[in-house]
Amino acid sequence: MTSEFIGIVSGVVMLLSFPLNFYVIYTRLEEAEDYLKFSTFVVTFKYRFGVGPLGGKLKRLFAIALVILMPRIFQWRYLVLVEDVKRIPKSLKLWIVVPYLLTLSSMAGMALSWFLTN
Amino acid sequence: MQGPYVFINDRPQLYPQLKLSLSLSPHAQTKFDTLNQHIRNTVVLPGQLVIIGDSRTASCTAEEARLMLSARNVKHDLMAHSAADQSLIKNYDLLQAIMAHTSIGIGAASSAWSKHLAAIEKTLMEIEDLHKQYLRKGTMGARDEFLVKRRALFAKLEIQLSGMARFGAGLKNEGSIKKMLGISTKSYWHHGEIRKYEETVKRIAKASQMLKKGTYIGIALDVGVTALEITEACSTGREQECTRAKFVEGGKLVLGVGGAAYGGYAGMGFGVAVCAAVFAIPTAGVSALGCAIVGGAVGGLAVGTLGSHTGEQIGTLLYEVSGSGQ
Repeated sequence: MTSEFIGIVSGVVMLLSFPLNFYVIYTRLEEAEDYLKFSTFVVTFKYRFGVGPLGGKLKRLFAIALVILMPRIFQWRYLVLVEDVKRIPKSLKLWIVVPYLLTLSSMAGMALSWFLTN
Repeated sequence: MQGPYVFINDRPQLYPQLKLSLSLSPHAQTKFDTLNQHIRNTVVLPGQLVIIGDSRTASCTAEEARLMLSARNVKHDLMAHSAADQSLIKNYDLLQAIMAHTSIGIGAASSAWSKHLAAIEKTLMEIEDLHKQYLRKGTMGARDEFLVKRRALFAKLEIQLSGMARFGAGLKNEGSIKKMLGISTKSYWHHGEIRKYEETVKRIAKASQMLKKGTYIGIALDVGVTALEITEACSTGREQECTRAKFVEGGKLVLGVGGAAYGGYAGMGFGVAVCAAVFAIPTAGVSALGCAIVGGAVGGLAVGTLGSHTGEQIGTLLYEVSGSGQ
């Protein structure tokens, strides 16, 4: 019963994250990318993989969220500067990170439910 | 010019227009019509071969016959696989690069592509060196110098990458195969190269077709299976089973397809990030493309399966809540 509940909640979260992600990629993504226009990871990802359905924006959102979440790892490989990430306003960071984490948590919940069921 | 020659048409144009642009003698014009039966009185598409006959003789030589056959084959592949949306033409270099690196095909474009990638990689290395120097020094003076240099390097990178977007991932490309092939329209090709071009187009056309349909086939299969499951349940004559199938299979489809898309995109970003951050693989290189493909495939498959499983649970719950099971 618990596993089923976790699965259902995760599914609902994923369904809710669809419109949220769409809203963010059309209103906030470019602004966030502008703050990180000197990040080789963000810039090359945008050009290299930023194609496909929705102009690859969903992929770009997920990539930039990773950078915001773990700037030090990316700085370690000289792909971004932590101070550039710090310049991003907190509200914008939240707009980028929250939908990503919501999506990830829905996936994690589904995985947990799967393991508990099987 | 001795002997027959061939070049690749670089833009859509009418046959008479193309013929006029070549400034052929009246004698050569008649032969041109004979040799170019495959494009005569049609719109000549980018990528098609245009044959210029041997001016020394009015009759067709064996070599010209071979070229005609090659031109027909190229036209067939272009038309059969990609005439409608020109995806092959637009993605020629990307497909070429993928195939070249998987040892399936080699051709004229790969060297231009590799050179371009090498130039981008060089700029990326310069940026990396600049970051290293700055992080080592960390003084205010060094910071100002770093910011100036970084801006300049990124301006360079931006130009190279927008070139790459046109060149490789190329979806914004307007179909100029001349640029993509890195050759001049009027640069005539040697015979060995034509054979190679013909083979490359054939292979690339197939790859393009497979890549283009991959996702749609996946979704179509999912939708097809869902429809079959519902039909099967409904054909047994038990109304409850039928209604339940509609809820359950519908839920599986929605979260299965949505989850696969999410998983694929997230996996792609994660794959490139892991390769770049952990293994220090340049994000512009071909290895990064491999990381993206692997990440995308694993993510898509895993989350698609999980989504399908969860969709089934939600569908069952909705069915029970709706009271149809009573």
